[in-house]
Formats: sequence, structure tokens, C-alpha cells
Amino acid sequence: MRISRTLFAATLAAAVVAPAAAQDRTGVTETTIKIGVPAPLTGPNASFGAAAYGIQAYYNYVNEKGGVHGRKIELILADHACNEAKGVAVAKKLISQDQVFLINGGICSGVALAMRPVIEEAGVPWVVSTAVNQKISAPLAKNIFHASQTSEAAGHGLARFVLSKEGTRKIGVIAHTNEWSRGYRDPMVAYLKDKGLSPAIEVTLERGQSDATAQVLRLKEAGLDFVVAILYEPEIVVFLRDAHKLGLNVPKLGSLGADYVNTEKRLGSREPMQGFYQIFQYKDLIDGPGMKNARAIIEPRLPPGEKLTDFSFYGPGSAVAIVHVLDKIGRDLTREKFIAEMEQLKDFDTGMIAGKLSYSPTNHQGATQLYTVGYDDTGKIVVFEAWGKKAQL
Amino acid sequence: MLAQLVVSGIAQGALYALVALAMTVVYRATTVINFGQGDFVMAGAFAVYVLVVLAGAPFVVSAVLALALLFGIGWAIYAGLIRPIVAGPHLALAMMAVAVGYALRGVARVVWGREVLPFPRVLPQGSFTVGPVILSASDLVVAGGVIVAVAVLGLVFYATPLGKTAQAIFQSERGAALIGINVAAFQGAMWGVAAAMGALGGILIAPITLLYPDLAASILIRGFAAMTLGGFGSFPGAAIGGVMLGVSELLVGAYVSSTLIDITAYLVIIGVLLIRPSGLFGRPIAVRV
Amino acid sequence: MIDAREADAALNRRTARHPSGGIFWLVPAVLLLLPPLLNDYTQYIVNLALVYVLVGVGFNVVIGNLGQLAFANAAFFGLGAYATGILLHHYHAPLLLSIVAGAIVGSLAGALVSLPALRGIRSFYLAIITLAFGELMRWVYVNAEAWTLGSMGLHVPRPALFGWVLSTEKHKFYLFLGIVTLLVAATANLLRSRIGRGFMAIRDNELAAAAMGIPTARYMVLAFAWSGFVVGTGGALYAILVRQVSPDAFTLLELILHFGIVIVGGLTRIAGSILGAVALTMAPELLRDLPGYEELLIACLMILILLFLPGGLVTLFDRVTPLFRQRYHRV
Repeated sequence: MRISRTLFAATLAAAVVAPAAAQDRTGVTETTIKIGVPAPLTGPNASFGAAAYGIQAYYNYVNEKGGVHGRKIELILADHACNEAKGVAVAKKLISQDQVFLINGGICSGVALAMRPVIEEAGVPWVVSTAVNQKISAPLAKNIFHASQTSEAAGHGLARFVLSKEGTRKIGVIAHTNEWSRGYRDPMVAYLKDKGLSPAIEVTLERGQSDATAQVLRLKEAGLDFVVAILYEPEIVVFLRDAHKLGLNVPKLGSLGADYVNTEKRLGSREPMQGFYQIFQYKDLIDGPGMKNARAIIEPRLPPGEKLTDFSFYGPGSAVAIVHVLDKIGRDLTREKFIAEMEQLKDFDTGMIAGKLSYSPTNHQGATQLYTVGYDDTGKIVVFEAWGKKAQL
Repeated sequence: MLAQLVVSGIAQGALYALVALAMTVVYRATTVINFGQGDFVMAGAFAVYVLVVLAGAPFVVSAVLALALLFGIGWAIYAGLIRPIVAGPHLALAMMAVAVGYALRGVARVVWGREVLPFPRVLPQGSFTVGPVILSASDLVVAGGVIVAVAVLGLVFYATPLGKTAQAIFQSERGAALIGINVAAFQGAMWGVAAAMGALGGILIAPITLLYPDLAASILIRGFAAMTLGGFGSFPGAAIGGVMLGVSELLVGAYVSSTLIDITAYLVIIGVLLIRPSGLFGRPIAVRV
Repeated sequence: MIDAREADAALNRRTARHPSGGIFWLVPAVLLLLPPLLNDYTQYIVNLALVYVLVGVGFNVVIGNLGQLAFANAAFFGLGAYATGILLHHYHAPLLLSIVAGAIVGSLAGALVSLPALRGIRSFYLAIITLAFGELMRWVYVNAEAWTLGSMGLHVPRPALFGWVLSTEKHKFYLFLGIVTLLVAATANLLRSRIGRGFMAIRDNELAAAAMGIPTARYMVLAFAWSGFVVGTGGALYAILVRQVSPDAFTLLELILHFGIVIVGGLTRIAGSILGAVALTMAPELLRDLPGYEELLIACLMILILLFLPGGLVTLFDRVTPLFRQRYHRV
């Protein structure tokens, strides 16, 4: 068959030029892959930075084993102190100055929302960890993937657990007014609405308040079946203490803002914890068999002075997924291939995050499974998947 | 429910009263408002934590040491940072107090910024019922501690020679100096007292709120509200203002809306200063020519 | 007996001949040469510094020149940001109109905050009531959800100036530089005028100023309103720069940054506010390797300046170039 020479030349030229123009190899060298991790390492929310150190520990582990296809991960931790203006600065720094291959992290929801337009417009792949607000990854952006449970998943999880108790009709909510609390509360209320219910009463406990008497009394008065407490660590302690003191003896469900075991330590006794459950984002309890491997990887590699908390695992699950994808792609690593390969990821077990991650070209929110922790009848802390029903882990 | 709210409000308000009293001590002695008082509260709590957890000292000893330590810090701050500029514009004094508080918070954040620490347990757990009202042991300790502090202050300022000295200095600094009173030492001691009172507040509140550098972020402005309500410079005013504020917050939170609890203090400040700036017990504010 | 207007005219002639006026226009001219040297990130930091120049210059008018302890600056900043953000987000209003709206809302807030001062509230009392006002505004941002979208924060769409989309930091830079230059020049003129001198007379001795015939009430409202106007514009530019306006950005911690800018830079001096803004915006970026120390360093810097260099860092420059010294004030 005779092909016109011009046509042949044109096809050859296209074959050479086109893929080269479309493949972005920024941040990849012969020996390194640069990954940027924006996190709150300082400032009032610095305790959430533990997730970033968990991520760092995991990448250190990967580097110890030789990296990915002969390339070591070069990590750039960038502090934004949970401040939006700094968050945008950090995003621009990682993209324009450090020129990272991809971004992993975020952690503060408000800051992640501020970073979204910058990262989306730059087209750099971003695997979000820890920051729950579901607007970070929805509506869909080609380069943004959510690798931890979103606020929508968490809000639905809260609602599902509450409703899994027979006869739950009157539900009360105590929450902060900040965007973190609203991020859980709004999808929860939407889910309840779908089932024909709505909260009987909602009260506010602001950050920094040390007394919840008024709130507890109002909740008591309302004769509730269940209370959902969307509060950070210090305020959960205040609430549970006052609830115990004033006799608010209904089941209570907390969100992802505190460590269950630490909460009990701070209360100083088990009694206020009776009937208190908390939704849970991991495969198993931190000291349970399901998390043993994860602990062995993360714990020894935390920076000196950094203690292991359950927040330390809130980041690295996303790193496990990233490394898996990088490994699958092989030596010829480009941003487009990363995005395409992420979208192919199905039923991937990170060894830390509850359930499995699954993505598709139309779904970038891969983590939907949530459990609940609490005390069972024998006085042990166990993982539940519904009221009274232990999870098969 | 009303009785419970009032009683819990008094316990809560006692803390505000303590902050307001400490600021009143400073104000009476040096006519400066200490914008860093909230951070003295936090510093005291951290001092006890360090002594108990890291040095292994028993709690009561640590508490006393922390009070002494903060007393020294308060005096040093006055002598080194406030007194040199006390003749200057009020703005500089306010800024210095803010900067000092911020620096204390900065130190705490450098050392402990990454964690929310549990405070050593010292108060007995448990609560008991008195009629329609439930009280916890910590409620009683907090209220009791503040009552003792108020009583001591009142006694000292009105019934002892030291108190007479204080009154002399407040009325006329120069006159007091002329008759041989060591004004600078007294003022340093008063800042020390205020810092120690802040530490006491920290020791009382940290078991409830846990320990983190922004512990006292909101308590400062409630101290202001208590002082404003009670009248600047009045000890009974600061105490009563604090208690009234605590009770109002709980009443507003229970009967109107819990979202208003946070702004009750601001509304009190704005309302009082616009309607009756001298507060309940203060003297009318006059501008010296 | 010297006619007041004659005296003013003579003083104006003397100050008008002052060479520092010319030097001033050199600064934006030099800045125009910057963009090709900067990447997106460093350009963003420069833009952020410009925002804080307005914050500092505006704050200085009330706190430095008028000498009142008005601590509502974070509120002016926030109200300006929200006004602009609301117009851009909900109504897709034209960009310049939205910025002007932010400025006007800021100045209205300034006039409102001047009311307690007019009623005789001074010094620490004014500080406390203005602090309370600022915190009250934060509560409003959170609860006026229909407009502000509450604590979720308000997203600001990509700004466009008469159809030209400002898609990069460089584009925003030109807009910001123009606005900032204009407002700084206007503030300098105001401070150099009889009104500006009136501010400082009020600061130094209010009763004497009134006795001399200076309309103190009118001037106070003017100073507060102008301060709110400039800082509100800063807020408007902030909304356009960061494109996310949320209540958490305007807390007391933000106010401490504002304090730092005017104290470290130099009270009463425009050059001081500019210096402070640049220093405190650049510092966190340069100190990235020492996480956690930023707070402590700013606090210690403030303490050292208050003790040893109360005129601010700008006084250091005075010794180098007399051209920096501005004639219309005394330290």
C-alpha cells in the first residue's frame, strides 16, 4: 500500500510531537520525585499537623526500601498554620517555586478550600488527606482526589449510626459554628431529611468555652433519643463532663475531632464515657491487630519529640495509595499518567483507612467507609459498624 | 433549671471575677490595663504542668511554686518592660502588654504547640446534689478559691498598712513617693500579685479545659467585660461583675440561644460603656487636664 | 496678629518644596520593574505585602496620627473583605465597584466606631470597646449566613477588570499597585494638610486643640472614616487576592499582626507602615525553616522596639538618608 509521503511525514511528526507536548514531567528527575505536603505545623491548630508527620514517616519508609522504581521521594513539608492567606502562598510556592510533581495533604478544610482554585487551575495532581470538607473535591476537578472520608461520608456516617438504633426519633446536635463542624452537620441533616427526620434541637458550644451547663440543660429538656456532638477535643471533654454531671443519660455520638482513648484519659474515669460513641476512620483500633502493620511503619519514623496519636494515621493512608499508583506506572512518570492511573484504582486497601479506596473518571472521592468506636457490654473498646453490631474487620 | 443555671453561672463567673480582680489590682496600682492577663492564666497552668509532669513534684508544692514563679515573672515584667515606658503614651503601654502576652503564648507554642495536654488530676471527681442543683467538686473549689482571693484582697487593701500604702499610691503617686513610700517596688509587687492570681486561675481552669497555648484566648475579654460592668478600679465591682457576667451567659444560652453565649461579653462591654461608662460601682471617668 | 490662613499657606509652601515628595513616586516606578523577576509565588507575596501596606497606613492614621487606641482594625479589614466578596460572589458585580464598596463599608464602620470616641471614651476604655466591636463583627460574619455563607467561607470567583480576566498574580499586581499608590499618596496629602496637623494636635493635647479652634469632633470622625476607608480597601484587595473570605481570618491574632506592622515599622510615619507591612509579610516566608518561632519573634521584636526604638524601624533609615524624614511630624 502506497502512503502519500506527506501524510506519512505528518503522522510521524504528530506521533513525536503530540505526546511529548501532553506529558508533564515536572517534579520528576532521574533519582527523585518531589511531593509537597501543605499542613498546619504551627499556629492554633498545630496538633492536626500530626497527620503530616505520619505522611512523612510513610514516605521515609518507602525511601528506606529503595524508593519507587529507583527514585526516592523528596518531601517538602510546607506550613500554612491553618490560615487561608498562608495556604494560598504555600500552594503557589509548591507549584511555582518548588515545582513539585504532586501535592499530598491539606488537612485544614478552610485552607484546602482556599487552595483549591490555585491547584485546580495549575493542573497539579492533589491527593487530599485529612481535610474533610467535601467541596474540596466536588464538583469534580480532574486533578483533585480525596483520599480520606469526606464530610459528606462522615455526616452520612453519623446519621446512619444514630438511626441504626431502634426507635431513634428525636435527635439533638451540639456543635461549634466553624466550618469544620458545619461540614459534618449539614450532610448529616440532609441525610436525616431524606429519611423524614430533622434534629429536634441544635445548640452551640464554641471553641474555648469551659462550661456546657446551659447547652446540656436544654438538651435534657428536649427529651432526646440521641445526641450528636460535633466538637474538637477540649470541648468534647467539657461536654461529656457536664453531661455526666447533670445527668444527660442518652447515647452520644462524636465526630472525627478527638481521640477516643485520650478523651477518657482527660475525663479521668470511664463513667462519662458510658454511652459515648465516636465515628472512626481507620481499619481497626490503633492498638488492634488490623493496624499492627501500620503502627510498625509509622511509629518508629516520626520525628524526635513527636508522639504517636491516632491523628498520625490520618494522613499516611493517602500516601500508601500514592506510592501504589506511582509503582504501577513505572519509570515513565508523568502527571497525566498519575491522574489516569488514580482513576483506575479500585478496592485498594491502604492498611490504615477504613474500607477500600475506589475511584473512577467521574468519582474522585474514594473513601466512604466509616466505623464507630465505643464500649461494648463487657467493658472493652470495640469497633462497631452499627448500633450493637460489631464490625467484621 | 433556673437554679442550676444560676449556680453554675456563679461558678463560671468566679473565674471571670478572678481575671477581672487581677486586672483591677494592676489598674489600681499603675493605671495600666494588662492586655496580657489571659496569657498569665495560661502561663501559670503550664508552669504547674511542667513541675508536676516533668519534675515530678507533688501537686500542691507545684501549685505554690507556680504561684511564686508567676509572681516573680509579673514583677520582672513590670520592672523591665512596663516601668521604663510608663510615662509614655497609653498606646505604648497597651501594645507592650499585648506583646508580652503574645510572647508568653509564643513560648508555650514553641515548646508545646503540637499537643493538647491533659492537666494533672488534683480535684476530686464526682458531684453531689443540693436541692434542685447539682454541683461538682471543681465548681466548689473554683468558687471557693475565688472567694478566698477576694476576701484576702479586701482585707489587705482596706484593713492593713499595706492597703493604706496602696491607697496612697493610687491617690497620688508623687505624694506617696514624697513621703518615702517605695512606689516602684510596690507597683512591681502588684504586678506580681496579678500574675500570681492569673496563675491561680490557670490552675483552677486547666483541669476543665485541658492545656493548650490558646487556653485563655476568650477569658481576657470576659475579664474586660466584668471590669466594665463592675466599674473600673473597683474590687467588689470586678467580683460582682464577673459573677453577673457568668450568670448572664448561662441564662442567655439556655433561654435565648446558645449562639449568643460567646457575644454576651461584647454586648455587655458596648452597652455599659455607651450607657453608663462608670459601671455599677466605679467612679465617673474624668479626663485630667 | 497672623491670619490663620496666611500661616497655613506659608507652612504649605515650605512642605511642598520638600524633596521627599519626589522620592515617593520613585518607589512604585521601581516596583513596576519587579514582575519579570518573580514567579507566581513570590509575586503573590508581593501582592500580599501591598494589601498589608494599606492595612498599616490606614491603621496608622487613627492609632499613630490621631493617637486614639482604636483596636477595630481587624473589623474594618474584615468588613471590607466581606463587602467585596459578597458583591463578587452573589452578584458578580464589576470589580472596581466591588472594591469601592469594600472601601465605603470600611469607612462607614470607621465612622460608627468613632461614636464612642466622640462621647468621650478614651484610652483603654476605647481599646476595649473597639475590641468588643471587632469580635462582635466576627459573630455577625458567622451568623449572617445568607450573605456571608457563614463559617464555610465565601469563595470569590476569578476577578475580571472590564472583561480582562486577572488570571495571574502579575495581573493583580498592576491593579493592586495602582490602588495602593493612589491611597498612600492621598493619605500622605491628608496628613500633610491642615487636617492632618489637626489630628496630631488632638493626639498631643485634645483640650488645647479644641481651645485653638480645631473642630475636634469633625476631625475625629474624619480620621476614623479615612482609616476605615483605607483598611477596607485593603480588605477588598485581600478578598480578590486570596479568593476565600472566612471569619477565621479576622480574629484577634490577625489584629496582633496589624499592631506589629505599625509598631515595628514606625507610628505616625507612612514610610514606617510600608516598612512594617513589607517586613511582617516577608518574614514568615523567609522564616519557613524555623516553624513555630514566628509568633515569638514578632512579639520580641515589638517589645524591643517599644523599649529601645519607639519610633520604629523607619527611624533607622532616618540616619542613613535625611530624605526619609518627613517634615510634618515630630517624633
